[in-house]
Amino acid sequence: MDFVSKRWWFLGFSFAVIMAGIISMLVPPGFRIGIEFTGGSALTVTFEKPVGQEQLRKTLTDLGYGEAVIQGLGESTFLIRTRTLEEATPGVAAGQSARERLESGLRALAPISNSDLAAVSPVVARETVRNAIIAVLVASVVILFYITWAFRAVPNSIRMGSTAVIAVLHDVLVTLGLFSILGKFINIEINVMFITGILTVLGYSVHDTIVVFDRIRENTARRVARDLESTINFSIMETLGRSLNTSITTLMAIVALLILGGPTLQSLLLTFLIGLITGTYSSICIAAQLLVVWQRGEWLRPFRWRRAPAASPAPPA
Amino acid sequence: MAKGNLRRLIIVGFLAALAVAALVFPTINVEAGALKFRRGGTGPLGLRLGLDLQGGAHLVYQAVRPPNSLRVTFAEGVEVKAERVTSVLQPVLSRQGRTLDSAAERGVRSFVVQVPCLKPGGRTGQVSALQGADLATLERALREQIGPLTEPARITGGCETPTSAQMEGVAGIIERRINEFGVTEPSVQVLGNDRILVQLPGVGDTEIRATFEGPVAVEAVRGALAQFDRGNARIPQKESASFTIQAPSLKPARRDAQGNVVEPAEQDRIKEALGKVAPLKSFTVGGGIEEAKRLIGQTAHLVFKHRACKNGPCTQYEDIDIKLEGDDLARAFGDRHQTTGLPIVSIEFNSEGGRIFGELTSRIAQPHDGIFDRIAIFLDEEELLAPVARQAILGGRAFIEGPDFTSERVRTLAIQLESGRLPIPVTVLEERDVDATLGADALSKSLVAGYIGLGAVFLFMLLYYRVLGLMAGGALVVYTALALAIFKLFPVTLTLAGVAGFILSVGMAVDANVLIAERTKEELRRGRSLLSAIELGFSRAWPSIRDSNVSTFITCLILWWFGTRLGASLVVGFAITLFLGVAVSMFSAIFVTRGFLLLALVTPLRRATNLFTPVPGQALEAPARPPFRRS
Repeated sequence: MDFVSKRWWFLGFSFAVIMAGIISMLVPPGFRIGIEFTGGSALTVTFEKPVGQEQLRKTLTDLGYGEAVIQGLGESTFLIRTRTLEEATPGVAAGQSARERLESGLRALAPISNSDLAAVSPVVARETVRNAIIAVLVASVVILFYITWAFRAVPNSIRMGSTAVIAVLHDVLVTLGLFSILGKFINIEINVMFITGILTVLGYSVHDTIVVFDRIRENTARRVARDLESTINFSIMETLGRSLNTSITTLMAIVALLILGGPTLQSLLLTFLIGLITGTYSSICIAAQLLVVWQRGEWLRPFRWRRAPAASPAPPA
Repeated sequence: MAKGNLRRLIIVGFLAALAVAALVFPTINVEAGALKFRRGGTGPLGLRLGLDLQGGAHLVYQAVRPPNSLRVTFAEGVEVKAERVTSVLQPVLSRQGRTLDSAAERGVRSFVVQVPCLKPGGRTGQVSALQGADLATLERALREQIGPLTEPARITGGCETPTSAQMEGVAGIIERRINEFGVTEPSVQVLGNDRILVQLPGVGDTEIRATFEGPVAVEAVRGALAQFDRGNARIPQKESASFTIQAPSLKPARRDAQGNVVEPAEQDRIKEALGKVAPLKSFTVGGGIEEAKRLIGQTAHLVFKHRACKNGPCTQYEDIDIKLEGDDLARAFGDRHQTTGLPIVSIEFNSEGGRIFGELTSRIAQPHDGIFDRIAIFLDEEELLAPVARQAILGGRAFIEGPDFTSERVRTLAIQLESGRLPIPVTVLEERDVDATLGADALSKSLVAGYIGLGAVFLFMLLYYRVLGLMAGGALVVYTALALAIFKLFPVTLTLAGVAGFILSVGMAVDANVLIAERTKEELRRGRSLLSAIELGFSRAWPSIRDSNVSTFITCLILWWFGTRLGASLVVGFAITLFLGVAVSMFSAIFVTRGFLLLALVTPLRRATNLFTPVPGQALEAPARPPFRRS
């Protein structure tokens, strides 16, 4: 299979996915954001008889508060943290405030003997998110330089550094975009676990890409082929077995956790899953291909595509 | 070569045994003279778990507002002492549901009476300032029973709602204190406008130290504990009369809706039960949560001292107490210098504080032997700043500038100074056990799923890579043991982010092994002997492993640095576990996998080379020769 000649298919596909993600992010609500970021309300409810946490979660989900964080404080008392619940104010009709509606829904489980509501500040400040983003960007730049240096045996190794970082950013964008799209259909939100997942994606993608690049470096030194394209293609073929095997093994663990584990881990695991798939995909189909595009100066080719497709050399299939 | 490998295997075996030993004992206590080494937590294998993975203590603190100050001045001719004022006001106040803190004379026939603004007995600490009809009633009582007043009784202060900046300041201090103590990864949030929610992981650190009057058998103690389901509690110290009982998750007192105690706290009941076994000499509950509670209970303490420097850069000095404290500071806020525009911290002292400050600055503005003394500012015993004084400052107002002040830093400093200025005492409003944010059910399910996942990985490796896979699997087991042992000994508090980092590093360890296996397989296919195939497999795979791991290290370092600097503990936890995990995986790949593989050579397995190559007929076969035919 020729990975290099099909590069425009791969790049095009990635472009489409990222575009869809960006559009989804721009259409409000861009993301579902977890309460760790926005702050909200903490409702402490004491029932008159013991209530199971699973039942409570189900009831909350039915009432539309599926994202609430529930902590048991004993058999009949629970601390429920969720988005801001308005209390009765003069403007709202009696019995219709969000809090009252939630409580009457909860009474279906058991009579409530006591409830206490308080506003809760965000656990994770906005600055933290901003700082995490900055940290990621700085890390990307440093990795770029490191790869450029480590792969100096290959001519123009700065290209390798850059494409590796581009592949990572590609993965992050795809994951964000997919989360944005999914957030519109199912109850999946951006929260602290998501950030953890993104960091994991970052680490994994770089790792994966470097393995492929390492093979390219080795094959370049051994002069296995006449031109860069063939070398790259050959290298990809050689590492394919290893890439897929690693991905499959990690995937098995993640899928097992997703199916059998608890619901609260899903945000994290889903991020892993998406990140793993795009990480592998970007290492095999995007990063090295960008090297070819770069070497051939083909950056503007998508724009010239309409005009003169025959002008660029078409590699045999 | 075989000898080299033997040495390698011995080292591996030794380390693996150490790791297993470290993990098997839930707590590790090593005390050798001055060296105290204590590790261990309440999670599985004695690892420390963060709040999201295990439960802990849930504490709600209420900011206690300063009491109302009531000023009463009697007319000429009235002879009265503070005690009389107190005895007149107390019955009136208690009819209003209040108490009286103190009454002091503050001038001729003038008194200041402190009345707390918290109504006692209210579950959420209802706050009500003294005013209106209540105030009028008090005044009337004073006039009728003592004498006329020159002016109406006035409230001169107290009961102010803490500002959000102050609450943030207190929350920050609480978090710092808890972290210092070692109860890591707390969750501290401001609740409402005057409460703080603190959640601390690992209630399990609690221990009960009970000393009896005379020798008591361990079995008797266990018997007494059995009724609390603690018959199997760990009782490490086995002296005849003194016992240390590990008592995780001691249940606090159960209260009803009004806050009255329905069932006494478990520790009290245990004390009673032990008392029945033999007379108790002492009974204390200590450990993480209790100590943390004790620390939190104190208020922020701001102190200014005269630092007498002994040398120019002031690395040797003596701090002299000048009785200038947070109470004397009226205001502190971040500002910009009028002329230079640089960020500064502006401070204002009250009249008494201004006087002391003036004396201090007059003294230290003049150098002695060319050395300038400084003002040392301490918050909670920790030095905050130590500026010099350029001139004597007599008006009580000053500003502090520094070459590295940013507007963010001055804002933080101002908050810290303010939180020490108005010491906001906090009292415990609520204290209970709390479950893991993840949900106890989720955790156990996830563990099971984790085992199944790992099993599947092992199986796959075995089936696809056969003997190589078996070696890799064995290496992975050793890797996991080593990594977890290091987490425990470091120590690292595992939150979900930390677990994610660990999972990623396991993935990379698997990857390293797969790389080695693939390379070895390639060399075998090229017809090399088993020994050289393995050796070549390593040397070919190594640059790849090294480079990808180094870039991961770089990522970790940057994430860690940013995380600690900017307070994103989530990121820090992830970075640490990933870093440690990857480091161990590199070691494991070089030493352990190689050791196992070379070990296979001395067994009869070496003859069955077909067992070393993956199952034939797989679709993903690299071409033996590169295609030279590109156009």
